[in-house]
Amino acid sequence: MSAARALLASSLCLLAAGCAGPTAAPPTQRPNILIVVQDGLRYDHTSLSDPALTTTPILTAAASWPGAVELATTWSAATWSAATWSEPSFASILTGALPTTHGYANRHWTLGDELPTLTQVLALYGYDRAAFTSGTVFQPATGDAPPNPLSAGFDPIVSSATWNSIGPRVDDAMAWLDERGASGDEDPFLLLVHGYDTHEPWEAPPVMWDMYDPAYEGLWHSDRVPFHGRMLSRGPDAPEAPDEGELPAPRDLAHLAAEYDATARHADLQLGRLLGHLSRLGLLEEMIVVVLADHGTDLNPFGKDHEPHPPGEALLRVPWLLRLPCPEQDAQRWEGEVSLVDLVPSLLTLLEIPVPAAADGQALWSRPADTPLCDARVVGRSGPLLGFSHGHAAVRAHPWMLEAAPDDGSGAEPVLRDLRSGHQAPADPERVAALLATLPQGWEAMLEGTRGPAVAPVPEDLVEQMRDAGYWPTPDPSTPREGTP
Amino acid sequence: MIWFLLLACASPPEPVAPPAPHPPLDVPDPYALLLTDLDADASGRIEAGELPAHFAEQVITAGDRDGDGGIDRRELEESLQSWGHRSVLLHGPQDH
Repeated sequence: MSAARALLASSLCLLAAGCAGPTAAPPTQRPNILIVVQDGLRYDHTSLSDPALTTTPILTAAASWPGAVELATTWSAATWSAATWSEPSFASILTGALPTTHGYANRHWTLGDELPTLTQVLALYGYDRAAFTSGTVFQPATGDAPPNPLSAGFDPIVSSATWNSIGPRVDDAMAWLDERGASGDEDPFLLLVHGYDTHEPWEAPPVMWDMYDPAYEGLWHSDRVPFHGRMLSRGPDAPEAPDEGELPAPRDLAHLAAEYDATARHADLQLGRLLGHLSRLGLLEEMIVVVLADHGTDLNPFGKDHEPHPPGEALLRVPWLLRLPCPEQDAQRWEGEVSLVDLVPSLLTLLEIPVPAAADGQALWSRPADTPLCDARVVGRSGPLLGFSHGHAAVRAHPWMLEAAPDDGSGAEPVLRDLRSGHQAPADPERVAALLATLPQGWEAMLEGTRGPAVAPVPEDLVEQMRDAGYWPTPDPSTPREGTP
Repeated sequence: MIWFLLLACASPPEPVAPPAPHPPLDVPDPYALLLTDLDADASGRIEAGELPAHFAEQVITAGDRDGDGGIDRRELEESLQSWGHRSVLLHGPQDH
């Protein structure tokens, strides 16, 4: 602890009403923390969801490590992100607050003073903080632009301008770790690594092209799907693209889902590179490892001119693994609904750091005072899960899910779905009202302006075909997987 | 701001002796796993006949650095790293 920081802390303590003085120091230095975010990775396309899938062998291996807890195990026990797009979801991941609290959406790119990010909190506790990310979510502000609160506190921070693979960011992270080791820096660190492999448009490296559907000979490849009005290309030798306006057949839909799976495999390979490097440096075993996705995807093969589905399991259900450096703890799967807003309260509780009062999330672990970290136990959370998309809110309380939109005068009613069938449930006004009442005040205002221009619906017959092709989670009668406690 | 004041009341941990070393974790070799999945005849390298026919030549050309007609473990690593450094993905809008 530097002298300046100690003086600042002491001074602030004297100023704060009710300050009882410094708390007792924990018995050991707090552990390093790695957070890996695979942008757009759906839980039901990981090997965690179905061991027959080979999309995420590294993540699945990590889930078996001592101290690991997989926080999404059955159809009745999902992990939900707080939003279907990156900016508000990352704000929730880093603050523990719902979009209705942090308001980091709808072009309101600020966070309130009462909502410090995990980065800022850990800085006060002596952590070094580094972020290596793709895309614009974490890009520091330039010129006269207001500061980006998501990049605040990270130093160094690397953020590519493109929605690039996590591979180069893993290289950056490994180089940073090497430099840090060479310098002898022994402060604990938070390392965030983020990439876009599993975010549309799905583009796997050539060697993985079609590896999950090699027999396909059609014209629909993910780099040929209109995306924001542009297309990628596999070069002059690639097959022709589908005709403009043509819709994919069921076989094409299945192939596009398989191409998504190939991007998941590449992202997982890069995760393996990073974990292997940490292991070689002797850091992995003693650190907290978090792997998650900021949101899912609806695998929309129709471009942005069609909207196939409102928010729900496909867009909000994500994988989440948290591994503690506790070699005596068996790996476990937690059977209970959890939200990514629970990450910050959980981490801070595990680290014996006070949780910001404005956080909406709940600590999923309990750690009695003055006990070792490895005495902490998963206790789960209560209440429904809430998620927000462009123009919609969703509430999940298994087996029900409610989709609601702000009243725009059109008379559209909330939609109640039965997660066991995947279909709309029979009318049940009381249940709808009860679920609607769990949405925080201000949810409609928060969503104003987030909805894009009107888009054409996907034909109903294709909706069912997309379900058959794995575009939306297959309904399941909530049977726990073998091995689930 | 109040939150920052309260946070400052808690003192960062004092350095203490490091805990006992933890046993190593099993981190699978991701390249070996991929090679196993793509190398159908277990020859140790990926050849055109083991890939989808409509892209096989493109893929081998992209990854076969020594020109021997296949992609071995070392070339697999090199081709994936060089791919990752290409800006093959699109610039996008602010919200995604």
